Amino acid sequence: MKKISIFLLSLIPLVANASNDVTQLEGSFKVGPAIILIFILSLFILVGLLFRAKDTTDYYAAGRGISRVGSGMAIASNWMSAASFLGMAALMYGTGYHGLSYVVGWTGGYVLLLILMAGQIRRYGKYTAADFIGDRYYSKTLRTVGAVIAILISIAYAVGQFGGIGLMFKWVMGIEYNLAVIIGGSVVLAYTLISGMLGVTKNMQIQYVIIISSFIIPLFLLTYKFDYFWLLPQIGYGSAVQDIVEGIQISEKSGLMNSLGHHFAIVPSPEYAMPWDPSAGQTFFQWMAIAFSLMIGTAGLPHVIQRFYVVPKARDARWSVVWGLFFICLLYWSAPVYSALGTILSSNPEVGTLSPDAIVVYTAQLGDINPLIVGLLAAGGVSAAFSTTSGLLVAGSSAFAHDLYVKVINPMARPKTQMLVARLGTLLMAVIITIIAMVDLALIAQLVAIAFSMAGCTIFPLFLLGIWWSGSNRAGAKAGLIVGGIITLISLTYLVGARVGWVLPYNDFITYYLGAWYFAWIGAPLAIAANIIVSKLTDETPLEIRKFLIEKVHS
Amino acid sequence: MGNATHSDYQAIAQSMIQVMGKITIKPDDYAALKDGTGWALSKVYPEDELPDLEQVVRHLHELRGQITSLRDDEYLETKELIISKAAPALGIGEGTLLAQLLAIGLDENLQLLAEENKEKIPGIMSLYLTHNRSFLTDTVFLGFPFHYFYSAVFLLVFFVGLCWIYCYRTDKLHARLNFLEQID
Repeated sequence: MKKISIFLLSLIPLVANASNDVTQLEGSFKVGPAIILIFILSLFILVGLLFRAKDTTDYYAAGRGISRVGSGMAIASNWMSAASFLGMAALMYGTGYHGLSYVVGWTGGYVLLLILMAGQIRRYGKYTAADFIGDRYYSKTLRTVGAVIAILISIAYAVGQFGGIGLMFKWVMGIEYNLAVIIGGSVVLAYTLISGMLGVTKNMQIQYVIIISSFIIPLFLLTYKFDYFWLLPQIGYGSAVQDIVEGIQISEKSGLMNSLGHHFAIVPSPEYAMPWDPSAGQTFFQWMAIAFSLMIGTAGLPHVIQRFYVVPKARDARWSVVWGLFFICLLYWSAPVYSALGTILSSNPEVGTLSPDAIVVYTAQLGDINPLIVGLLAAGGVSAAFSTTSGLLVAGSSAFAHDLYVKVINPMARPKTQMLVARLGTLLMAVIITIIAMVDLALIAQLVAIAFSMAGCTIFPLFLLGIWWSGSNRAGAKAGLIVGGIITLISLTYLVGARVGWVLPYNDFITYYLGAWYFAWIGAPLAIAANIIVSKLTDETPLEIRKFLIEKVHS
Repeated sequence: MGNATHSDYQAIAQSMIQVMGKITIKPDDYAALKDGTGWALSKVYPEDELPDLEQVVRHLHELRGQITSLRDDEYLETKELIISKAAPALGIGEGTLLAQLLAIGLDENLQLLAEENKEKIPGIMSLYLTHNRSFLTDTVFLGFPFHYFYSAVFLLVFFVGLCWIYCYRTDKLHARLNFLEQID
């Protein structure tokens, strides 16, 4: 204990000196934020060890014993990733209203999830998306495909997280983005493997409280400092939005300036708040397509759906959605505040082009908030990405080891071999994700939106029809998957093609109507239609499955 | 522009500077407007004093490549010098935001307007100055433009409320029908 005290005391001068480090938006190694980051990640492991589950039964009982509010926090913690923490503000930075399609899509999806899925999935009683698909559609092939899709979605989702981790490591360590992704990726891999080996239970409620606090505290300080209604920044920033629309003359806010010495002023910029403004480069169709795709994607994401298997009753599953959505909304009400203030504080062209994905941290810096609070904010962003990424790596590697290796390749595998395959799967996924993240394809939230569209085109139709229409059969499910898969493939080919400079046929048409962040708007309805048509034309669903749906799932 | 008056040049320059200050401006569009602003300024600025002004602008650009802080004294003084020379010619108050944007928004060669930029500028102005405004966007509610409040705040409250009502009504219905769930 004495040694720990001496170590902590020795850190005080480092933390104090850290205040001088954050005088530039980018650059040198920042000691304070680095210490806060290490402290928070260690805290997660420590808390996980203290509350470690003794055995599998205890693990599930603990999961099922928590209150509805606690369960809601767990859902929110599971959900809050780099895309929410860093990406939401990035989407609205500069272009304002345009990014609200993501807010509406990601929250509206929970209404669909509640009404169409939560209770029914709980009553169905399967533990993974692949299990459900294999059982409901009585097909080992579909089970395998379901597992592969779950892995692909996990990879697509985690690419955005690695991007966020890379950006924050770049900011903390003052190094190049690619190097930051490699270091950040290695740290998250080590964190996941160490947590796994120590048997750390994720304490999601505590993670939620830390992440949301680090996000909201700077908002009170920023709104107070820049003369907005600070007691409720989520409402108080309305005047900031109006200020952007009408413009702020230097004389109106004399004395208020950003950390670079620029006046708190902006020319009238109605485009920030106007719907589908031409200068934002987004149309009404795209706004709606993004919102719709994200909604159905939310209701089809394997790691979101799986949260409902571990609550005691369908009733708890329903209420946990309500609380989960409320806790998620706390973050989504807050993210636009960073965008609005960041837009004003960086409006001077001399500030140069800021990386939108780091705008949350830059806003706090430009607002001259205490560097340690800025460090806490950055650490919160990394923590959000870490907790989601480690969950995705674990889920992906379990799908690899359990659903593919044991169920398909080697059913006689010993537990030790399974464990080895799972660890190799984690490593393999981390390497693939790091390489894709280094290509820097798009904004974090847009990368994550790809995962949602993939889920919307593939998993969502299988779950929707699987639960609500007993007529949907194996052949129909395969047809739907093929159609959804083709749409996904076309869209992603054009995305990669644009990045590497290929000139593909009908490029403008395809990239507009099958944009990578919203191709599910048409992919999902087509997959559903294919499923229905083929199901109608082929043999009926076996009687026992239809009976099970009526007696167990819908009664 | 053959019949443009002094005040016409001032008005177009002020409009272009306003657009140059927009956060959504693309780098190519900014460069074109910079070219146009300098050209409009050259039309209203005393011709014999133009070389001096161009010299100061050139010096500012050189400083920009050397300084480590935007609060560098010489850099700030040079900016102020440009403002004191150019802002009055364009009818812009020296202590205003437009004056600050003007100081950093001038090219070294003020009299030259590239043909390509001349053609692009009307389209750029139209792109950044046309907005989908209506009574929904002009109405202010709790400080927000109403439609922005609706999407960013109200819809989220609505979604949470909708979920709450759904769960509450389902519980009531289950109670009325004496429906008991099994725990497995």
